[in-house]
Amino acid sequence: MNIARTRLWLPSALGAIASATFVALHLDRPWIVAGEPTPILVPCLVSLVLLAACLIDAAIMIARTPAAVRSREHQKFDHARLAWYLASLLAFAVLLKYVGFIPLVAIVFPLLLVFGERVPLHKAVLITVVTGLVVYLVFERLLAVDLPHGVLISAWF
Amino acid sequence: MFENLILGLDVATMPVNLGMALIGAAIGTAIGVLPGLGPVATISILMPVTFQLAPASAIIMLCGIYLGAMYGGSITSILVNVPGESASVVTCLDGHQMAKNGRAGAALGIAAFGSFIGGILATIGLLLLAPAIPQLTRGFGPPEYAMLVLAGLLLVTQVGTSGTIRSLIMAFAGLMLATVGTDPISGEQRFTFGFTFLYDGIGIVPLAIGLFGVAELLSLALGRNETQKLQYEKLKVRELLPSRAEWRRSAPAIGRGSVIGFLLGLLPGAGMSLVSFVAYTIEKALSRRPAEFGRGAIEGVAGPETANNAGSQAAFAPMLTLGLPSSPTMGVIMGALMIHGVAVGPQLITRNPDVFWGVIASMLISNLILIVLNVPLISIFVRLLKVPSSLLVPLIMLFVVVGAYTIDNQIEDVWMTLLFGVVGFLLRRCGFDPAPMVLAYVLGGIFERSLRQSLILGDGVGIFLERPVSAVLMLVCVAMVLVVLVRTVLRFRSGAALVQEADQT
Repeated sequence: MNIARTRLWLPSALGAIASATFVALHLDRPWIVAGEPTPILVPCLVSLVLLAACLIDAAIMIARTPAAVRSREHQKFDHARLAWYLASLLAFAVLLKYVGFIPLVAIVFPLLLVFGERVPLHKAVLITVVTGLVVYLVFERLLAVDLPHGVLISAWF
Repeated sequence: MFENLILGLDVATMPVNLGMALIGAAIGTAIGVLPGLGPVATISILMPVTFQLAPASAIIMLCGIYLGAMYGGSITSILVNVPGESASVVTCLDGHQMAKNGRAGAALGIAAFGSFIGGILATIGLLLLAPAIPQLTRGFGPPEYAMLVLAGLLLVTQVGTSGTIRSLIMAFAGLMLATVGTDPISGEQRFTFGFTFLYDGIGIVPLAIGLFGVAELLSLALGRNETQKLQYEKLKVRELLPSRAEWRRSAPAIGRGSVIGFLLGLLPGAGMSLVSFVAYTIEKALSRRPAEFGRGAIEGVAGPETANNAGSQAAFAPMLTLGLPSSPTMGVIMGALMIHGVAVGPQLITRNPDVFWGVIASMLISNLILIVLNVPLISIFVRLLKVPSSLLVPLIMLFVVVGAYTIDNQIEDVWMTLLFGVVGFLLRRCGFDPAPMVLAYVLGGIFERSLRQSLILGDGVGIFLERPVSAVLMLVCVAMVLVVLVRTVLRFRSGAALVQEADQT
């Protein structure tokens, strides 16, 4: 199997976005009206070039020798660690508004340290407490940044 | 020239600005020492810290961070053979060999002194050259700017690290992102999908922090959790001073490196890795002892390190005077200036002379601070390498999230930062360098405005050929596109031939 082909998804996805953008905008209205460019002119031109470049890249990837691509696969990676990071980022993105910054750090940070980084629990708790305090004192107190307090906690108090 | 220098020094030597330069240089070196975090990631991560400052102080601090991060990268290259950023890869070749030969101090010393001298010479070059650039561009109108931006973007794609076509994809994806938000001419909403936070477009800060900061941290998290074993933990100040013979060998390399770095640094898209590589190649070609290169030749450290520092300062000239960032780092710094309400371009010298000359003078000060700071404190910076990445990565990630929130106190900025972080990580994993995307994003607004104004003024594309400067730039753009196409066809053919060969065997 040509491994290069499994790496086609990114240019394919970008090409699909570019072609969808181009078709949607082009069908919507003309690029130039009465000699004046409309707001869709640049997005249309850009999406057209983007689509062409994605097609060329995909063609090159298909034509490439498998060995050249396979040589990049021989690296050891810690996928479990990455999964914990991605889960933490997702938790921050989804829960920040509801839980608030400091409580979320208190929940997510020790989990990331213990399960993602294999830091002993007592150390993880200590680091979380110190980090939470530093963030609170520096940003909330010193720089007067109003960190998100969370709608759930705000509703209770 | 001297009046300008005095005005700049007045601004740069204000206690608050001196403090910012010192803090910037120290933090920049400390983060630049960490493998994987180069100048652009360091600046992206620390940019929100500058939002509370006045524009001149903010950019002075960013300059300090930039120069500090560049030097931090050299420390790890020499001591542990791990380049902190791409420009320091060349330094590994002879710098680490010198360390193995027991001359780690001399290698670090010549890198610091070479960077200092190169930085000073480049700053003098900027003092002489910068005021002339607006005179040269006095007749520039929208058609010239549109073509200049396009030529700059195409030039970036020619020297991108992920190949021309992929750089082109990233550049045009960046231009596409720049069209999100309110149209600058008609006021119409584009690609906002009903989200009010997108009305002002995607912010440069979430984009830069995400694509460079978060993505870099995720890449570090994917790697194995290793702590560097240090052999050169304790370095005395005296050990950092090169011997007389080493100085004699390094002096011409430092001179040449300054000139090469300054000239190449002015070009859009040259990139500091190219600058240091060219300087190394020239030193090897001119050397009386080419066989020593790769085995610990001090010229192999002095030349590239000087060139890379001179180039990084010369890169400020096109950014400040034309509004054209020549590297992703300059793109991020330009974004920070925009946030502070400073409009870069030919009018910057007349509208904000304090910012312009303050920045130029602050480079002199930052170089001085760096040498005063790094020579005695190098052992402390080196010890940062002992902090395990299992603690560093989550801590930096946390501060990145807080930093993203402090831009406008909006949770949406955190969402965008994390989203672009994952996108940047995926791009790297698939062999795409996101740098042209950020550069194109910064230039996208100028490009679209200039292009549409030109079409309105000239009643069609003919205006680009009617004006000599835009016509020449257009020809340059066409030539670059043709080169890309021809090269791609040739590569495609050779690739297809290789696949056939592999299938047959």
